[in-house]
Amino acid sequence: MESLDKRKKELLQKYWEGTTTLEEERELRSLSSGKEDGALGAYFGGIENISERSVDIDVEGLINKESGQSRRPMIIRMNRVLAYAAAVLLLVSAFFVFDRYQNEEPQIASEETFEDPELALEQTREALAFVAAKMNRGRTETVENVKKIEVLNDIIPK
Amino acid sequence: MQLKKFEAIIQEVQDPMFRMAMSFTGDVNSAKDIVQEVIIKLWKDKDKLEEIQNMKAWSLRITRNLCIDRKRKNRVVPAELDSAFYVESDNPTPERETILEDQMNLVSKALEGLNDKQRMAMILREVEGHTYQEIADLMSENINQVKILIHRGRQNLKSFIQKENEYGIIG
Repeated sequence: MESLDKRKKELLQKYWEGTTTLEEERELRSLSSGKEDGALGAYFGGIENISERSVDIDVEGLINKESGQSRRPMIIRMNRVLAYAAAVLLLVSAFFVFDRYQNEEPQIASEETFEDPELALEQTREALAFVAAKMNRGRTETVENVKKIEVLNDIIPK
Repeated sequence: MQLKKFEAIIQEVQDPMFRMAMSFTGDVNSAKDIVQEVIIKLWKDKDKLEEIQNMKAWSLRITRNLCIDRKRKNRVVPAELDSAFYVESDNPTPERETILEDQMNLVSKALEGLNDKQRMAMILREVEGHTYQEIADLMSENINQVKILIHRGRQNLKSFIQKENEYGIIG
C-alpha cells in the first residue's frame, strides 16, 4: 500500500512537470481513480471516459438531410402550387358536374312535348274538343232543369 | 470528391473530432452536433480536401475552432438530434451516466482555464494519447513548444484541481 502511494506521488510529481511518458500517465490514471483522489480522480475518470467514446455518424444521411433542408423553400413553393392546382381542378370538376345535371333536366321534360308543331296543334284541338263536349253536355242538362224550376215558380203564388 | 471517399475520410477522423468536442463542451449531444457541423463544412469544401496533407489535423482544427466559436457565442446547448444517426460505444445505466456526465463536465471546466493551444495540446495528449512529436505534427508546432504547452497546461490544471478540492463539490 505504501509503495503504491509512493509510486503515485512520484508519478504525480512527474505528471505536473510534464515529464511523464504515455505509459506512466495511464498508470497514474489507474492509481488515481478513487474517491479519495478528489477532483483529480474525477478529472482522470472524465479523461478515461472521453477516451473510450466513439461515434458513428451516417454521413450519407446527414448530407442528404442537409441538402433536403436547403431545398425546403422550393418544396414549400411546389406544395402551394399543387394546392392551387387541386383547388382549380375541384372547381372545374364541380362546374362540369353541375352543368351536366342542368342539361339533363330539359331532356326529361322534352319527352312530354312535341317536336312537330302541327301534331301539337292537332292534339291540343282534340283535347279541347273533348273538354268542350263534356262541358256542353252538362250545360244543356242544367238549363233544362232550370226551365222546369221556372214552371213551378209561375204556379206558386207570390 | 465522391461520397464513398468522403465517408472513408470521415470514418478516420470522426472519433477524434467527437472526443475533442466532448472535451471542450462536456456534453455528448453538443459534441455530436459540432461533429455534424464539421462534417457538413468539410462536405461543402469537398473539392479542396484532396489538397490537404493531414486530414486529421485539419478536421481537428475545424472542430476546435467551432467549439471555441460556440463557447464565445454561448451556443453550447444540447441539440435535437436524430438518434438514428448515432451508435454509442456502450450503454451505461442512468446512474453511471450521471457520474460520467459530472466527470466530463469537470474535464471541460478544467480545460476551459487553459488557452486555446494549451487546451488543444492537452486533449491530444490526455484524451487521444499522442506522443509529443505527433502532437507537434498535428498542431504544426515544434516538439519543444508542445512540451512547454503541456507543462503549462498541467500547471494550470493543478491550480484548478487544488481549488476544486478546496471549494468544489467533488472531493
